[in-house]
Amino acid sequence: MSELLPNLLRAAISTTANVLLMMTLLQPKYSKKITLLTMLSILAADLGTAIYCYLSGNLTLLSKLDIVLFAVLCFGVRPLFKDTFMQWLFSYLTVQNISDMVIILSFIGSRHLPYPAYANSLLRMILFGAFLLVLSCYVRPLYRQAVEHWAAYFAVALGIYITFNYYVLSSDDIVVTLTEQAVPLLLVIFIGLAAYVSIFLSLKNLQREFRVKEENQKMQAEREYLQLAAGNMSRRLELMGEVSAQNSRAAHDRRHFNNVLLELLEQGKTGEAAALLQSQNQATPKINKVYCENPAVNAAVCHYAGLAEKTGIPAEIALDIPGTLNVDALELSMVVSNLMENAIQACERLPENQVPYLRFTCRSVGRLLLEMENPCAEGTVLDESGYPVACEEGHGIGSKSVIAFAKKYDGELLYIIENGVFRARLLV
Amino acid sequence: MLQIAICDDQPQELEIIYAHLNAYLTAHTLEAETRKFTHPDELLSAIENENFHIYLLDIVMPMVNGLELGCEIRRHDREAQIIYATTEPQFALQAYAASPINYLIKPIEKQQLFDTLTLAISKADLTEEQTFTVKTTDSLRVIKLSDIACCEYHSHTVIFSLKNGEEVVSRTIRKNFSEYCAPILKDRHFLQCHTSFMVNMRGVERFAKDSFTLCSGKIVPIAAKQYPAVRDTYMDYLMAKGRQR
Repeated sequence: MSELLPNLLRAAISTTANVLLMMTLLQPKYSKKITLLTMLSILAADLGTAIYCYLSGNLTLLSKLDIVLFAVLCFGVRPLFKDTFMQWLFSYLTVQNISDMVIILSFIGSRHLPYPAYANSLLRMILFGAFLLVLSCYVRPLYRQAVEHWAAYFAVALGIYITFNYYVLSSDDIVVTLTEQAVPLLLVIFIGLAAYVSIFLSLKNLQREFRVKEENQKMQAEREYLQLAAGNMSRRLELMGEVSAQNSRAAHDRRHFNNVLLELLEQGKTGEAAALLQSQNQATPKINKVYCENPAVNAAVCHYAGLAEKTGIPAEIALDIPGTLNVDALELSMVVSNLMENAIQACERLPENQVPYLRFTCRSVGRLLLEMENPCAEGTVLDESGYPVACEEGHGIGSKSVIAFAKKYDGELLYIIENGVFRARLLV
Repeated sequence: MLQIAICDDQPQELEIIYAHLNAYLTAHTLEAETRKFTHPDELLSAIENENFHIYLLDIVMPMVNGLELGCEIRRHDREAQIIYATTEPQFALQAYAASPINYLIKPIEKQQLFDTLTLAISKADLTEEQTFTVKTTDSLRVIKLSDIACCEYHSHTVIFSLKNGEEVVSRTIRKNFSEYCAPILKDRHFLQCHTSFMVNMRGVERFAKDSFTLCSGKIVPIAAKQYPAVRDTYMDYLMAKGRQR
């Protein structure tokens, strides 16, 4: 019995460690309970075989049997994990490689220590513990990436696995093999470790590069939005300039009128003066079209409605946008500008047999519901996320800023293309 | 039948518009019920219980001005046709919240009013008023669909909440709620937004991701799974109305 104890201890440690490694590296599909139960049954089966072999005293048979048995058991429980077959196989090979490394290292190490039978178990436990700790704390996220790209690293894992198993399967007495082939085995372990470390290091670098690239892209997009905002701003300034020019024209006209009136009165022509005043009164005051209560949005709508009129696109605009909004009015006016600009551009691209129009409706029911409708040319498509595809270089920034607006206010943005009619709907 | 409301605090102005309106109705052989209001409050209390197809409103009135009145009417009935008639052209700038169909300057030109009325009538929903018969525990009750604000299925009965605040409870029903409501749902104003709720979209004041709030303040929940379909139907309803107008 006292001979059996160290052996049993060793078997228990390595089998438990193998099962734990499997659980760390793979992604369970079901609850923890089910996974644990299955793993316990693997443990029991593996331990049973080990005890049988120890009782018969055949360590060589155990080492060979163990490879086959663990493979069969692992294959059996594969449906319990989310990983695909090749991902699972890669993890299985990795577990086997780690376990082989630990077994060989602990065996060789224990020969130089007192009580080698117990020292072997202790070393095994320490080494397995170290591997498990490193894997679960530091390497797991990187490892998951390596698994995603298993094809690139599969040969490395397989090569190491074959090398180890060549030694185990070709040996007549495992203890002799381990003692005599210590140096080549240590070298294989070194190569194996080096290979895995380089895999993880390269992945880490790739990850960093990818992050930098993504950040660059984000910055680029932000710059585009800023440019767009600046463009819109300057357009607004132009509009304001136009308004002030109009105002000064009106002031000039009024001064002119006053001067005429003054002259008539000075000349004592009261009758003419009265007639002039009357004629001025009769001229109905010209009211600029107002589309909605909100001044910022109204300015944008006026500008684009004017553009549409100039290009001969009939526009039907019915807006119910309150003066005060729970979104930024300027941002909303940019969105409205973009939607109207896109609609006008789409109308301009229409083939001649299609009648252009744009219909812009907005209702306020706690939220703002906007709809822009215009006919679109055949072949206008939405991408896989449901957003319109820009057909020319430089276009599509407007749509992007609408998307950004919807995202910012947790709104909903829907694009619909139906029977040659394009509809953009925005709920914020 | 066409229902028209006129509201003007100046009795003589009111009579002028009324006379023009009658002339129009006679000329076009139209049957209509016209109600005259000299104070906006009277009109406000009237719309609590009934709907008009067309509203002719003055703007400068005591207490509640015509613009506020228009917004209040819109709140109760998104489909009403509002025509403003006023001496003050500058108010036209602010009148858009009530989305009036036209803005007439007094003294009213007969032809302009006639044209506007023709447009309003063409847009008004004059389809024969639909009704639904509810078997209550003690009687049969015929309800106008336009009077229903929402319906709720509750322990095998259906509770009809009416616009005037009344609740009518049906007898225990054997069919499921959707089957029971199918005839009502054929009307384009109605929408089932939850396994046990149906709403009249005409009376919706607020639309959130999880509920409709009616103008009575009642909240009708929207089932999360049905939200995309509810949103699309509601948008279609709102936008189609915009197109009509």
